[in-house]
Amino acid sequence: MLEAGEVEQRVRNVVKRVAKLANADFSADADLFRELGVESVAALELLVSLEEEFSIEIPDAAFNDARTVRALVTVVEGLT
Amino acid sequence: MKFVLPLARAIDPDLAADVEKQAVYVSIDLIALRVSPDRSSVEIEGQGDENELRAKVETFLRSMVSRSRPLERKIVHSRKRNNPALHRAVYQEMKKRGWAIELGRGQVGLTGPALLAAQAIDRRCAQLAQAQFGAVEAAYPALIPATVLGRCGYFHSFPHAVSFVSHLVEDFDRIEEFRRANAAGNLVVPMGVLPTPEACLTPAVCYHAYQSLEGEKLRAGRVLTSVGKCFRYESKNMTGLDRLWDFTMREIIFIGNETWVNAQRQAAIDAVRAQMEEWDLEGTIETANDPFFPAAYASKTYWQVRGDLKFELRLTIEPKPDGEMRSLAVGSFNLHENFFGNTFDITADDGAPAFTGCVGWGLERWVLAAFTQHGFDAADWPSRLRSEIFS
Repeated sequence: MLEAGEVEQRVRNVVKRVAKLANADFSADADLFRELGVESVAALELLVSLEEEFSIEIPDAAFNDARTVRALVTVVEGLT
Repeated sequence: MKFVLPLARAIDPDLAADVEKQAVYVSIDLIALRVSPDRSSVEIEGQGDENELRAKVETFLRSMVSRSRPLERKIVHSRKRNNPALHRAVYQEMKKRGWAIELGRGQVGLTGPALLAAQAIDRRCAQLAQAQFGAVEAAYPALIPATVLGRCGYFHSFPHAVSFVSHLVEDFDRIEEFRRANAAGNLVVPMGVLPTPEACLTPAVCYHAYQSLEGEKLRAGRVLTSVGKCFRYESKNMTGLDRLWDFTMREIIFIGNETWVNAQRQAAIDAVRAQMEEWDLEGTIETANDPFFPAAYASKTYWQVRGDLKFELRLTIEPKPDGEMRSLAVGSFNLHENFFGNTFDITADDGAPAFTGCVGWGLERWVLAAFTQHGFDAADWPSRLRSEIFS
Protein backbone atom coordinates (compact mmCIF):
# COMPACT_ATOMS: atom_id res chain seq x y z
CA MET A 1 0.00 0.00 0.00
CA LEU A 2 1.37 3.37 -0.97
CA GLU A 3 1.43 6.17 1.58
CA ALA A 4 -1.27 8.84 1.53
CA GLY A 5 -0.20 11.68 -0.70
CA GLU A 6 2.43 9.64 -2.50
CA VAL A 7 0.03 8.50 -5.20
CA GLU A 8 -1.16 12.04 -5.83
CA GLN A 9 2.38 13.38 -6.10
CA ARG A 10 3.38 10.69 -8.57
CA VAL A 11 0.21 11.22 -10.62
CA ARG A 12 0.94 14.95 -10.66
CA ASN A 13 4.46 14.29 -11.93
CA VAL A 14 3.15 12.12 -14.75
CA VAL A 15 0.58 14.75 -15.76
CA LYS A 16 3.23 17.45 -15.59
CA ARG A 17 5.47 15.52 -17.96
CA VAL A 18 2.73 14.57 -20.45
CA ALA A 19 1.23 18.07 -20.47
CA LYS A 20 4.72 19.62 -20.60
CA LEU A 21 3.95 21.85 -17.61
CA ALA A 22 6.57 23.84 -15.73
CA ASN A 23 5.50 22.59 -12.31
CA ALA A 24 3.11 20.17 -10.63
CA ASP A 25 1.25 22.51 -8.26
CA PHE A 26 -1.95 22.76 -10.33
CA SER A 27 -5.42 22.18 -8.89
CA ALA A 28 -6.35 18.54 -8.37
CA ASP A 29 -9.78 19.36 -9.79
CA ALA A 30 -8.62 21.05 -12.99
CA ASP A 31 -9.78 19.33 -16.20
CA LEU A 32 -6.75 17.54 -17.63
CA PHE A 33 -7.65 18.20 -21.25
CA ARG A 34 -9.43 21.54 -21.19
CA GLU A 35 -7.55 23.31 -18.39
CA LEU A 36 -4.16 21.64 -17.94
CA GLY A 37 -3.38 21.31 -21.62
CA VAL A 38 -3.05 17.56 -21.94
CA GLU A 39 -3.60 17.17 -25.67
CA SER A 40 -6.31 14.63 -26.42
CA VAL A 41 -3.90 12.90 -28.79
CA ALA A 42 -1.62 12.34 -25.76
CA ALA A 43 -4.30 10.42 -23.84
CA LEU A 44 -2.66 7.08 -24.53
CA GLU A 45 0.70 8.40 -23.36
CA LEU A 46 -0.92 9.54 -20.11
CA LEU A 47 -2.63 6.19 -19.65
CA VAL A 48 0.45 4.09 -20.39
CA SER A 49 2.67 6.35 -18.28
CA LEU A 50 0.38 5.91 -15.28
CA GLU A 51 0.32 2.15 -15.81
CA GLU A 52 4.11 2.03 -15.96
CA GLU A 53 4.51 4.37 -13.00
CA PHE A 54 2.36 2.19 -10.74
CA SER A 55 2.80 -1.21 -12.46
CA ILE A 56 -0.95 -1.58 -12.91
CA GLU A 57 -3.42 -2.06 -15.75
CA ILE A 58 -6.05 0.64 -15.91
CA PRO A 59 -9.36 -0.29 -17.59
CA ASP A 60 -10.22 2.05 -20.45
CA ALA A 61 -13.63 2.86 -19.01
CA ALA A 62 -12.14 4.00 -15.70
CA PHE A 63 -9.55 6.10 -17.48
CA ASN A 64 -12.13 7.66 -19.81
CA ASP A 65 -14.20 8.85 -16.86
CA ALA A 66 -11.25 10.33 -14.98
CA ARG A 67 -10.68 13.87 -16.18
CA THR A 68 -8.85 15.35 -13.17
CA VAL A 69 -5.83 14.49 -11.06
CA ARG A 70 -8.17 13.76 -8.15
CA ALA A 71 -10.13 11.28 -10.25
CA LEU A 72 -6.94 9.65 -11.54
CA VAL A 73 -5.69 9.24 -7.98
CA THR A 74 -8.94 7.49 -7.06
CA VAL A 75 -8.54 5.14 -10.03
CA VAL A 76 -4.91 4.36 -9.18
CA GLU A 77 -5.62 3.87 -5.46
CA GLY A 78 -8.36 1.40 -6.37
CA LEU A 79 -5.85 -0.68 -8.31
CA THR A 80 -2.82 -0.63 -6.00
CA MET B 1 13.95 -16.72 -46.24
CA LYS B 2 11.01 -17.30 -43.87
CA PHE B 3 10.72 -16.89 -40.11
CA VAL B 4 8.08 -16.45 -37.41
CA LEU B 5 8.01 -13.83 -34.67
CA PRO B 6 5.69 -14.21 -31.69
CA LEU B 7 3.59 -11.24 -30.58
CA ALA B 8 3.49 -10.17 -26.95
CA ARG B 9 -0.23 -11.01 -26.94
CA ALA B 10 -2.94 -12.08 -29.36
CA ILE B 11 -4.13 -8.96 -31.14
CA ASP B 12 -7.61 -7.98 -32.28
CA PRO B 13 -8.64 -8.36 -35.96
CA ASP B 14 -8.56 -4.62 -36.72
CA LEU B 15 -5.01 -4.28 -35.47
CA ALA B 16 -3.99 -7.45 -37.32
CA ALA B 17 -5.32 -5.98 -40.58
CA ASP B 18 -3.44 -2.72 -39.98
CA VAL B 19 -0.22 -4.60 -39.15
CA GLU B 20 -0.40 -6.48 -42.45
CA LYS B 21 -1.23 -3.31 -44.39
CA GLN B 22 1.50 -1.15 -42.83
CA ALA B 23 4.16 -3.86 -43.13
CA VAL B 24 4.91 -2.71 -46.68
CA TYR B 25 6.88 0.19 -45.18
CA VAL B 26 9.17 -1.99 -43.03
CA SER B 27 11.79 -2.80 -45.66
CA ILE B 28 12.12 -3.36 -49.39
CA ASP B 29 13.48 -6.79 -48.41
CA LEU B 30 10.18 -7.75 -46.79
CA ILE B 31 8.22 -9.76 -49.34
CA ALA B 32 5.21 -10.58 -47.17
CA LEU B 33 4.11 -10.36 -43.55
CA ARG B 34 1.07 -12.32 -42.44
CA VAL B 35 -0.52 -12.40 -39.01
CA SER B 36 -1.18 -16.00 -37.95
CA PRO B 37 -4.81 -17.21 -37.84
CA ASP B 38 -4.83 -17.01 -34.02
CA ARG B 39 -3.25 -13.54 -34.28
CA SER B 40 -0.50 -14.37 -31.78
CA SER B 41 2.46 -14.31 -34.16
CA VAL B 42 3.54 -13.05 -37.57
CA GLU B 43 5.02 -15.06 -40.42
CA ILE B 44 7.62 -13.22 -42.44
CA GLU B 45 8.88 -13.92 -45.92
CA GLY B 46 11.87 -11.88 -46.93
CA GLN B 47 15.18 -11.62 -48.72
CA GLY B 48 18.62 -10.18 -47.99
CA ASP B 49 20.15 -10.03 -44.52
CA GLU B 50 17.85 -11.94 -42.14
CA ASN B 51 19.16 -10.31 -38.95
CA GLU B 52 18.66 -6.86 -40.37
CA LEU B 53 15.15 -7.67 -41.55
CA ARG B 54 14.28 -9.35 -38.25
CA ALA B 55 15.40 -6.23 -36.34
CA LYS B 56 13.28 -3.96 -38.56
CA VAL B 57 10.22 -6.15 -38.16
CA GLU B 58 10.69 -6.27 -34.39
CA THR B 59 10.92 -2.49 -34.22
CA PHE B 60 7.82 -2.20 -36.41
CA LEU B 61 5.86 -4.63 -34.24
CA ARG B 62 6.95 -2.86 -31.06
CA SER B 63 5.57 0.38 -32.47
CA MET B 64 2.33 -1.05 -33.80
CA VAL B 65 1.46 -3.63 -31.17
CA SER B 66 3.06 -3.09 -27.79
CA ARG B 67 1.34 0.22 -27.02
CA SER B 68 -1.91 -0.52 -28.84
CA ARG B 69 -4.94 -1.35 -26.74
CA PRO B 70 -8.10 -3.19 -27.72
CA LEU B 71 -10.64 -0.51 -28.54
CA GLU B 72 -14.39 -0.73 -28.73
CA ARG B 73 -15.56 -0.27 -32.32
CA LYS B 74 -19.11 0.78 -33.08
CA ILE B 75 -21.28 0.00 -36.06
CA VAL B 76 -23.68 2.92 -36.31
CA HIS B 77 -25.47 1.70 -39.42
CA SER B 78 -25.71 -1.55 -41.33
CA ARG B 79 -27.56 -2.26 -44.55
CA LYS B 80 -28.15 -5.51 -46.44
CA ARG B 81 -29.34 -5.97 -50.01
CA ASN B 82 -32.14 -8.23 -51.14
CA ASN B 83 -29.78 -9.77 -53.66
CA PRO B 84 -26.56 -10.51 -51.78
CA ALA B 85 -24.73 -11.95 -54.81
CA LEU B 86 -21.34 -10.34 -55.46
CA HIS B 87 -19.54 -10.16 -58.78
CA ARG B 88 -15.94 -11.37 -58.94
CA ALA B 89 -12.84 -9.97 -60.62
CA VAL B 90 -14.64 -6.69 -61.23
CA TYR B 91 -11.52 -4.62 -61.81
CA GLN B 92 -10.21 -7.15 -64.32
CA GLU B 93 -13.55 -7.06 -66.12
CA MET B 94 -13.47 -3.26 -66.22
CA LYS B 95 -10.00 -3.39 -67.76
CA LYS B 96 -11.17 -5.97 -70.29
CA ARG B 97 -14.03 -3.73 -71.32
CA GLY B 98 -11.72 -0.72 -71.55
CA TRP B 99 -13.57 1.12 -68.75
CA ALA B 100 -10.48 1.09 -66.51
CA ILE B 101 -7.12 1.88 -68.06
CA GLU B 102 -4.01 1.02 -66.05
CA LEU B 103 -1.45 3.72 -66.77
CA GLY B 104 1.09 3.22 -64.00
CA ARG B 105 1.42 1.96 -60.47
CA GLY B 106 -1.65 3.20 -58.62
CA GLN B 107 -2.61 5.25 -61.66
CA VAL B 108 -5.83 4.24 -63.39
CA GLY B 109 -7.98 6.10 -65.89
CA LEU B 110 -11.74 5.57 -66.13
CA THR B 111 -14.09 5.81 -69.07
CA GLY B 112 -17.50 4.51 -70.12
CA PRO B 113 -19.96 3.43 -67.41
CA ALA B 114 -17.19 3.33 -64.77
CA LEU B 115 -16.55 7.03 -65.32
CA LEU B 116 -20.28 7.77 -65.52
CA ALA B 117 -20.79 6.04 -62.17
CA ALA B 118 -18.01 8.14 -60.61
CA GLN B 119 -19.59 11.28 -62.00
CA ALA B 120 -23.04 10.21 -60.82
CA ILE B 121 -22.00 9.79 -57.19
CA ASP B 122 -19.97 12.99 -57.30
CA ARG B 123 -22.96 14.90 -58.69
CA ARG B 124 -25.11 13.64 -55.85
CA CYS B 125 -22.52 14.58 -53.26
CA ALA B 126 -22.14 18.07 -54.69
CA GLN B 127 -25.93 18.50 -54.69
CA LEU B 128 -26.10 17.22 -51.12
CA ALA B 129 -23.37 19.65 -50.07
CA GLN B 130 -25.16 22.63 -51.57
CA ALA B 131 -28.81 21.76 -50.94
CA GLN B 132 -28.55 20.41 -47.41
CA PHE B 133 -25.47 22.10 -46.02
CA GLY B 134 -25.34 25.32 -48.05
CA ALA B 135 -21.77 24.55 -49.06
CA VAL B 136 -19.72 26.85 -51.25
CA GLU B 137 -18.04 24.96 -54.10
CA ALA B 138 -14.30 25.50 -54.35
CA ALA B 139 -11.57 24.26 -56.68
CA TYR B 140 -8.12 23.70 -55.22
CA PRO B 141 -4.72 22.87 -56.74
CA ALA B 142 -3.37 19.34 -56.79
CA LEU B 143 -0.20 20.83 -55.31
CA ILE B 144 0.09 21.89 -51.71
CA PRO B 145 3.05 23.76 -50.22
CA ALA B 146 5.19 21.35 -48.21
CA THR B 147 5.21 23.83 -45.35
CA VAL B 148 1.41 23.73 -45.19
CA LEU B 149 1.32 19.94 -45.20
CA GLY B 150 3.89 20.00 -42.43
CA ARG B 151 1.78 22.37 -40.34
CA CYS B 152 -1.16 20.01 -40.87
CA GLY B 153 0.86 17.31 -39.10
CA TYR B 154 1.03 15.14 -42.18
CA PHE B 155 4.78 14.53 -42.04
CA HIS B 156 4.42 13.39 -38.44
CA SER B 157 1.39 11.13 -38.90
CA PHE B 158 1.70 9.89 -42.50
CA PRO B 159 5.31 10.36 -43.71
CA HIS B 160 5.12 7.05 -45.60
CA ALA B 161 2.30 8.33 -47.82
CA VAL B 162 3.74 11.70 -48.90
CA SER B 163 4.23 12.38 -52.61
CA PHE B 164 6.82 15.09 -53.09
CA VAL B 165 6.96 17.30 -56.17
CA SER B 166 10.32 18.49 -57.31
CA HIS B 167 11.97 20.14 -60.28
CA LEU B 168 15.50 20.57 -61.51
CA VAL B 169 17.61 23.07 -59.66
CA GLU B 170 17.92 26.40 -61.49
CA ASP B 171 21.48 25.83 -62.66
CA PHE B 172 22.40 25.58 -66.34
CA ASP B 173 25.17 23.03 -65.79
CA ARG B 174 22.97 20.76 -63.69
CA ILE B 175 20.07 20.93 -66.13
CA GLU B 176 22.44 20.16 -68.99
CA GLU B 177 23.88 17.26 -66.98
CA PHE B 178 20.33 15.92 -66.54
CA ARG B 179 19.53 16.43 -70.23
CA ARG B 180 22.59 14.46 -71.35
CA ALA B 181 22.02 11.71 -68.79
CA ASN B 182 18.47 11.28 -70.07
CA ALA B 183 19.20 11.36 -73.79
CA ALA B 184 18.05 7.76 -74.12
CA GLY B 185 14.67 8.50 -72.54
CA ASN B 186 15.01 6.44 -69.37
CA LEU B 187 14.87 8.60 -66.27
CA VAL B 188 18.27 9.12 -64.67
CA VAL B 189 18.56 11.58 -61.77
CA PRO B 190 22.18 12.66 -61.23
CA MET B 191 23.10 13.59 -57.65
CA GLY B 192 22.41 17.19 -56.73
CA VAL B 193 20.03 18.12 -59.54
CA LEU B 194 16.92 18.11 -57.33
CA PRO B 195 16.42 20.75 -54.62
CA THR B 196 14.47 20.09 -51.41
CA PRO B 197 10.84 19.78 -52.55
CA GLU B 198 8.84 22.94 -52.13
CA ALA B 199 5.51 21.29 -52.83
CA CYS B 200 3.71 18.00 -52.42
CA LEU B 201 0.78 16.42 -54.18
CA THR B 202 -2.10 16.93 -51.82
CA PRO B 203 -3.26 13.82 -49.96
CA ALA B 204 -6.70 15.29 -49.20
CA VAL B 205 -8.94 18.08 -50.40
CA CYS B 206 -9.65 19.66 -47.05
CA TYR B 207 -6.17 20.92 -46.12
CA HIS B 208 -6.49 23.71 -48.67
CA ALA B 209 -9.84 24.68 -47.17
CA TYR B 210 -8.38 25.23 -43.70
CA GLN B 211 -5.42 27.11 -45.12
CA SER B 212 -7.78 29.34 -47.12
CA LEU B 213 -9.42 30.48 -43.86
CA GLU B 214 -6.17 31.29 -42.06
CA GLY B 215 -6.60 34.12 -39.56
CA GLU B 216 -10.37 34.43 -40.06
CA LYS B 217 -12.89 35.08 -37.34
CA LEU B 218 -16.07 33.32 -38.42
CA ARG B 219 -19.47 34.80 -37.63
CA ALA B 220 -21.15 31.45 -38.33
CA GLY B 221 -20.23 27.95 -39.35
CA ARG B 222 -18.66 27.69 -42.79
CA VAL B 223 -19.20 24.83 -45.24
CA LEU B 224 -17.05 24.23 -48.30
CA THR B 225 -17.13 21.44 -50.85
CA SER B 226 -14.64 20.43 -53.48
CA VAL B 227 -13.70 17.50 -55.65
CA GLY B 228 -10.09 16.91 -56.49
CA LYS B 229 -7.26 14.56 -57.14
CA CYS B 230 -5.55 13.23 -54.04
CA PHE B 231 -2.29 11.32 -53.76
CA ARG B 232 -1.19 8.78 -51.19
CA TYR B 233 1.73 6.48 -51.82
CA GLU B 234 0.78 2.99 -50.66
CA SER B 235 3.70 0.89 -51.91
CA LYS B 236 2.88 -2.76 -52.63
CA ASN B 237 -0.71 -2.26 -51.49
CA MET B 238 -1.51 -0.43 -54.74
CA THR B 239 -2.97 -3.25 -56.76
CA GLY B 240 -6.20 -1.98 -58.26
CA LEU B 241 -9.07 0.49 -58.00
CA ASP B 242 -9.35 -0.16 -54.28
CA ARG B 243 -5.96 1.38 -53.49
CA LEU B 244 -4.64 4.01 -55.87
CA TRP B 245 -1.74 6.40 -55.59
CA ASP B 246 -3.74 8.99 -57.55
CA PHE B 247 -7.44 9.01 -56.74
CA THR B 248 -10.42 11.34 -56.75
CA MET B 249 -12.15 12.56 -53.63
CA ARG B 250 -15.24 14.69 -53.06
CA GLU B 251 -15.28 16.35 -49.68
CA ILE B 252 -17.64 18.49 -47.64
CA ILE B 253 -15.74 20.50 -45.05
CA PHE B 254 -17.23 22.04 -41.90
CA ILE B 255 -15.55 24.80 -39.90
CA GLY B 256 -17.24 26.28 -36.84
CA ASN B 257 -17.91 25.76 -33.17
CA GLU B 258 -17.70 22.30 -31.64
CA THR B 259 -21.43 21.66 -31.25
CA TRP B 260 -22.24 22.82 -34.74
CA VAL B 261 -19.48 20.79 -36.42
CA ASN B 262 -20.49 17.64 -34.55
CA ALA B 263 -24.10 18.12 -35.65
CA GLN B 264 -23.08 18.62 -39.29
CA ARG B 265 -21.10 15.40 -39.26
CA GLN B 266 -24.07 13.50 -37.86
CA ALA B 267 -26.32 15.02 -40.53
CA ALA B 268 -23.83 13.88 -43.18
CA ILE B 269 -23.88 10.34 -41.79
CA ASP B 270 -27.68 10.35 -42.06
CA ALA B 271 -27.47 11.65 -45.63
CA VAL B 272 -25.07 8.90 -46.64
CA ARG B 273 -27.44 6.31 -45.22
CA ALA B 274 -29.95 7.65 -47.76
CA GLN B 275 -27.32 7.33 -50.51
CA MET B 276 -26.86 3.67 -49.61
CA GLU B 277 -30.62 3.23 -50.09
CA GLU B 278 -30.69 5.06 -53.41
CA TRP B 279 -27.76 3.05 -54.76
CA ASP B 280 -28.99 -0.14 -53.08
CA LEU B 281 -25.60 -0.85 -51.54
CA GLU B 282 -24.68 -3.25 -48.78
CA GLY B 283 -22.33 -2.05 -46.11
CA THR B 284 -21.79 -0.49 -42.73
CA ILE B 285 -20.91 2.83 -41.18
CA GLU B 286 -18.50 2.11 -38.37
CA THR B 287 -15.66 3.32 -36.18
CA ALA B 288 -12.34 3.62 -38.00
CA ASN B 289 -8.84 4.95 -37.71
CA ASP B 290 -6.45 6.43 -40.23
CA PRO B 291 -3.42 4.45 -41.47
CA PHE B 292 -0.95 6.27 -39.26
CA PHE B 293 2.76 5.54 -39.56
CA PRO B 294 3.65 2.79 -37.09
CA ALA B 295 5.59 5.09 -34.77
CA ALA B 296 2.50 7.28 -34.33
CA TYR B 297 -0.07 4.52 -34.75
CA ALA B 298 -0.95 3.57 -31.18
CA SER B 299 -1.45 7.02 -29.72
CA LYS B 300 -3.25 8.47 -32.74
CA THR B 301 -5.51 5.46 -33.14
CA TYR B 302 -6.39 5.56 -29.45
CA TRP B 303 -7.20 9.25 -29.81
CA GLN B 304 -9.38 8.76 -32.87
CA VAL B 305 -11.31 5.71 -31.73
CA ARG B 306 -11.74 6.80 -28.12
CA GLY B 307 -13.18 10.12 -29.23
CA ASP B 308 -15.40 8.72 -32.03
CA LEU B 309 -13.49 11.04 -34.32
CA LYS B 310 -13.65 8.87 -37.42
CA PHE B 311 -16.33 6.71 -38.97
CA GLU B 312 -16.10 5.01 -42.34
CA LEU B 313 -18.68 3.90 -44.85
CA ARG B 314 -17.53 0.39 -45.74
CA LEU B 315 -19.18 -1.33 -48.69
CA THR B 316 -19.08 -5.06 -49.27
CA ILE B 317 -16.77 -6.20 -52.05
CA GLU B 318 -15.77 -9.60 -53.33
CA PRO B 319 -14.51 -11.99 -50.68
CA LYS B 320 -10.93 -13.15 -50.37
CA PRO B 321 -9.98 -16.36 -52.22
CA ASP B 322 -10.48 -18.28 -48.96
CA GLY B 323 -14.05 -16.97 -48.73
CA GLU B 324 -13.46 -14.43 -45.96
CA MET B 325 -15.83 -11.48 -46.37
CA ARG B 326 -14.29 -8.15 -47.32
CA SER B 327 -15.44 -4.57 -47.25
CA LEU B 328 -13.89 -1.42 -48.64
CA ALA B 329 -13.92 2.06 -47.08
CA VAL B 330 -15.49 4.31 -49.72
CA GLY B 331 -16.26 7.26 -47.48
CA SER B 332 -15.31 8.73 -44.13
CA PHE B 333 -16.77 11.12 -41.57
CA ASN B 334 -14.06 12.88 -39.64
CA LEU B 335 -13.64 15.25 -36.73
CA HIS B 336 -10.32 16.92 -35.97
CA GLU B 337 -11.27 18.70 -32.74
CA ASN B 338 -9.72 22.21 -32.85
CA PHE B 339 -6.41 21.13 -34.38
CA PHE B 340 -6.86 23.06 -37.64
CA GLY B 341 -8.49 26.00 -35.84
CA ASN B 342 -5.36 26.31 -33.73
CA THR B 343 -2.96 25.61 -36.59
CA PHE B 344 -4.46 28.22 -38.91
CA ASP B 345 -5.71 30.65 -36.27
CA ILE B 346 -9.37 30.28 -37.28
CA THR B 347 -11.81 31.53 -34.65
CA ALA B 348 -15.34 30.16 -34.45
CA ASP B 349 -18.46 32.17 -33.68
CA ASP B 350 -18.14 31.28 -29.99
CA GLY B 351 -14.77 33.02 -29.82
CA ALA B 352 -12.78 29.79 -29.41
CA PRO B 353 -10.43 28.16 -31.92
CA ALA B 354 -12.60 26.61 -34.62
CA PHE B 355 -13.42 22.94 -34.64
CA THR B 356 -13.42 21.22 -38.00
CA GLY B 357 -14.83 18.13 -39.62
CA CYS B 358 -14.95 16.69 -43.09
CA VAL B 359 -16.80 14.05 -45.02
CA GLY B 360 -15.09 12.41 -47.98
CA TRP B 361 -16.09 10.05 -50.77
CA GLY B 362 -13.47 8.09 -52.70
CA LEU B 363 -15.01 8.02 -56.15
CA GLU B 364 -13.00 5.16 -57.69
CA ARG B 365 -13.66 2.98 -54.66
CA TRP B 366 -17.35 3.78 -54.80
CA VAL B 367 -17.38 2.69 -58.44
CA LEU B 368 -15.59 -0.57 -57.66
CA ALA B 369 -17.97 -1.43 -54.83
CA ALA B 370 -21.08 -0.51 -56.83
CA PHE B 371 -20.05 -2.67 -59.79
CA THR B 372 -19.14 -5.50 -57.42
CA GLN B 373 -22.62 -5.42 -55.97
CA HIS B 374 -24.65 -4.71 -59.15
CA GLY B 375 -22.47 -6.13 -61.91
CA PHE B 376 -22.22 -5.17 -65.56
CA ASP B 377 -25.83 -5.65 -66.66
CA ALA B 378 -27.76 -2.38 -66.54
CA ALA B 379 -30.94 -4.27 -65.66
CA ASP B 380 -29.42 -5.26 -62.31
CA TRP B 381 -28.81 -1.66 -61.26
CA PRO B 382 -31.34 0.50 -59.40
CA SER B 383 -33.70 1.87 -62.07
CA ARG B 384 -33.04 5.54 -61.31
CA LEU B 385 -29.30 5.09 -61.94
CA ARG B 386 -29.45 3.04 -65.15
CA SER B 387 -29.81 5.85 -67.66
CA GLU B 388 -27.06 7.90 -66.00
CA ILE B 389 -24.51 5.12 -65.95
CA PHE B 390 -25.31 3.04 -69.02
CA SER B 391 -26.34 5.77 -71.48
